[in-house]
Amino acid sequence: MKQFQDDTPLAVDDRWSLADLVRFEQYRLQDQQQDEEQLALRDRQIFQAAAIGASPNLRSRLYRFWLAKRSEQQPQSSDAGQLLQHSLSLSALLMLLVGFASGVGLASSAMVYDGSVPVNVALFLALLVLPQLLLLFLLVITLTFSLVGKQLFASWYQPFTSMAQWLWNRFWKSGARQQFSREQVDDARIRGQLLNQLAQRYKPLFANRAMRLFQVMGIGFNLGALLCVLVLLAVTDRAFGWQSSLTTSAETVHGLVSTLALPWSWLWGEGTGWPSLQQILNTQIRLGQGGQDFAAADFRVWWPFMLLCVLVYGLLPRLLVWAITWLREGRLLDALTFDGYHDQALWRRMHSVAFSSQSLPSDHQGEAATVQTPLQQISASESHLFVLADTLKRYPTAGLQAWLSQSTGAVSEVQPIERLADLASNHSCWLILEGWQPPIEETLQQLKQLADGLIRQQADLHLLLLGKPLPPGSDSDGNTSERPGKPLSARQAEVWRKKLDLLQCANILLHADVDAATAGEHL
Amino acid sequence: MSHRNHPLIAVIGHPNEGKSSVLSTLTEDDSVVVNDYPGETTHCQYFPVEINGEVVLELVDTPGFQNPQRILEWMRATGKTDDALLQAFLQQFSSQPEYHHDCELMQPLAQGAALIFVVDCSRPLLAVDEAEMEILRLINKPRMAVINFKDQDRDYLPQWEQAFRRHFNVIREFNAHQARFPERLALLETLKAIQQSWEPMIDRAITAFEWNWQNRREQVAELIVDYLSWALPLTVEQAVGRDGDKASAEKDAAKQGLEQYQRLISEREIKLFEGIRKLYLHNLFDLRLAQHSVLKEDLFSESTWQVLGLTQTQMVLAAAGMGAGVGVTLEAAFGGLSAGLFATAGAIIGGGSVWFLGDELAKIRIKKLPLGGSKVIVGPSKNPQFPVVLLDRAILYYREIANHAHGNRGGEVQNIKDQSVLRHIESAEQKQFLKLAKTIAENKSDADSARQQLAELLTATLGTIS
Ligand SMILES: Nc1nc2c(ncn2[C@@H]2O[C@H](COP(=O)(O)OP(=O)(O)OP(=O)(O)O)[C@@H](O)[C@H]2O)c(=O)[nH]1
Ligand SMILES: [Mg+2]
Repeated sequence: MKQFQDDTPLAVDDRWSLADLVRFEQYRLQDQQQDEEQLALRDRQIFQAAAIGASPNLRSRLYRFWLAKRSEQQPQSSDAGQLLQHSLSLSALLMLLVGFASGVGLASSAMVYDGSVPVNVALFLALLVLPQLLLLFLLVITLTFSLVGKQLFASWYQPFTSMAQWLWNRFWKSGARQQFSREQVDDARIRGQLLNQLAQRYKPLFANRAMRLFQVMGIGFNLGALLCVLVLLAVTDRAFGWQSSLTTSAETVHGLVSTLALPWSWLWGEGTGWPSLQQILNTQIRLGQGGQDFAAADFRVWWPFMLLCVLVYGLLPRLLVWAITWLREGRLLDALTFDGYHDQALWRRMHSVAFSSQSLPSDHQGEAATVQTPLQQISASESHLFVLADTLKRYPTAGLQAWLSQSTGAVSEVQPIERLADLASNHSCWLILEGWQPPIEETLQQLKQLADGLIRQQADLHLLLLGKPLPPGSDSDGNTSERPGKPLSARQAEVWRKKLDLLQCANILLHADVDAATAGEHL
Repeated sequence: MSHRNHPLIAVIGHPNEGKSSVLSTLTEDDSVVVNDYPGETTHCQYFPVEINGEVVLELVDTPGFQNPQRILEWMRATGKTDDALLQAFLQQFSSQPEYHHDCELMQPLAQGAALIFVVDCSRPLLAVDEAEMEILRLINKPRMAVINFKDQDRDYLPQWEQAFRRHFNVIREFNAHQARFPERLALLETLKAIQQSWEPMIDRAITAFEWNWQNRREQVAELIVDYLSWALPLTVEQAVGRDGDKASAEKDAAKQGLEQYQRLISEREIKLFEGIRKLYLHNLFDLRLAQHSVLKEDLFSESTWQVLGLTQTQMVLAAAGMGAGVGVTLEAAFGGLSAGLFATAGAIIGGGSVWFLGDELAKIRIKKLPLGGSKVIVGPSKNPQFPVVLLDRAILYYREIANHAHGNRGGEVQNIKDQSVLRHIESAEQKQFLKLAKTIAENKSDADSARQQLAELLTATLGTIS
């Protein structure tokens, strides 16, 4: 178990206790409200701090370490673990007292003696030993089953927990109607959830603890009974006899008695540890035969047997079971594997990798235009009509020409130019541009130069924007009335207009054959 | 200039070709400004890929070329190439505002970046494109071309490919609006071919991407399992009014209880969806679904129950041998077309196809209270179709979210074909889903292990659709 790596910082006590489990669940319940990313960061750090290599039951140790770290980082204002500890000790004390009181009560009533009839041993045994013998028998069965793996006790304890939960809920529900504040009620509900989770997840452990509590009650009971008998014996003188409707045969009684006394027969023989046949005969209480001589020594011979019965069949088994459950709790705690569904998230977070591929923050804004260059419909064209030779590769000249004359009503020759800088004109002129491509700085600068040149002649620069050309295969040569290429979208025209606005050239006029269907639409 | 020991890769290209979109999709970052206004990106934006705080790969978004032809002319005149050319260029132009974008985009290259040249190949190759590629050839950095189709038009592709062959030896198609996780991985894989020495680092990044994707899938499975663990055993209590006719008061309470039951589950479903969306880093995309998509429907609408979940035959097969509980409910579900309580809560039941609703969406009991009066308890649902419909919707939502490219800001999701996912998986798996859901609904001691099994099964199923 304790194979630490030499440099392990996992120095905290790495054993679990019931209170730890409660705390563990309490923290995990709180985590449910948190942001997963932050949780992952925190748990990863704890995992790295633990730095344990492979070891048996790694999860249990890691989670214990996690709990220690968490308690250190963020102590609970109301520690449910401590609460559990307190309530467990309190209930143990209560059980002990209740057991003790009932032991005293039962023993004293079985020992009632007014001098007329001896204390009936059979009654005493029936009240104080027989139920315990039955319990012992049940216990042996349970333990045998639990050896085979069947948790019988756990199934007996189920109704108890359900009842406890029901009571808890009832209590707070009625409380909600009365004196408790909303917050208190909610807190209680959370605690109820916690209880529920605990009962479900660590069933054998809590069943075992419940069993241990019952043993404490049993111990109290037997101690009370023993003490009561001893005190009564010390301060009073009582005669003991026996009486039964089932049998009047002293042999049978003797057989029974010697069987019961078997456990201590090696220490105290017949006559001391248990009455002999003769003594039994002598102490039989016969109906209607008053006035027997209770002073006979035989009437005193019973009490060691009775005490030993309580001791051996009452107290000792309780002590034994108590010790077993105590040991078992340790073993169960050590054997916790934490591999249930609810335990996976923590494991996943511990082993997570901080991963990000997101951009670093940037606060740059896009450009925006203020002036508005009017967008105009194509109208009568002037004589000077230019187009880039590169553009002509994509739009058939004939088609372009035909389309222009059709839509403007004027016939004019299109003049190809190699570069925008080649365009020289003293009159207003038209320039055909591929408007489906975004305007870039170098084009805009050249247009500005052109426009600045023209403004001195009081001439305008008309820009005619074309839409995306048709793919090479689908030529529309035969159909010249159609526009060359696709129509320009309204958004494309708007983009050009905004970019031109930034140039602040009053004599640039924009014309585009905008597809009416796309007007107002943003691509 | 800072010295980096991780690969730095700049995404470069003409304005408006989708550089930012490609990066946004590749890095799942929807905070990147994507706009149809050219020149939107004006400054370099860095995308470090970090694993536990260590940068293993860094991508950079850059502005588009604004003066390619002028620059090329100038560069040719200098007679320089490679780094010398780059330095000379930056020295010459960095003070001129018209060249701001061009200088900015060259910055990462001066820091030793390789580059991805992004072009939209659904348009013809222009003189400016030739100029840009030539500039990159002269500067001579490790480089590849990424083809991003903004349109379906493939006519220009041969033209482009011919040009690419002259300038790039690695070419890859990547559609910024459609790419899903496998395509993103494939692009990352290709990055290794740009520069051999970067292979180990890029491999680490790829492993982290893959790990992260799987991890999120597991988290989604967990979210869904938690949601089912809450919804399947859910009960709602409704006090019965004390005045008036007792029978009608009970009926009213039952109706209210059922409405409340449905509302709670619908609200919880929205919370689940939000959780999934957050996990997939979608801050903008709010899954605007086409009108006829089933996810647009309310969880408890009639058509949801027609389109999702299992078919009648599948249900019979899957529920076979699952114990009396399901059998009885199945009978009720098949037989009953009585416009039962389900209908009272708002759904209109008509036509024979709505077999699965039956009159049992949720169990309704009436309980006397000790202090007089009574209350109606609605739930849990015993209808075997119930968990399947909840599951199907969650899986469907996941499929849309996980497969939505962050670069795609449009958002309207087309008709979701094959709406049900669960209808198309193996019958054995359907059975498994049903069985686990039943165990979880009963919430007994074996529910926890059922949850774990369901989470595993779900993770696997999610893996087949994303
Ligand atoms: N249909 C479609 N549109 C796309 C695709 N990729 C980008 N777009 C659109 O193209 C426009 C420009 O995209 P961006 O990513 O901003 O382009 P960019 O290259 O970064 O542009 P700048 O920053 O201006 O240089 C946007 O309207 C996108 O929606 C794609 O694959 N398909
Ligand atoms: Mg951009």
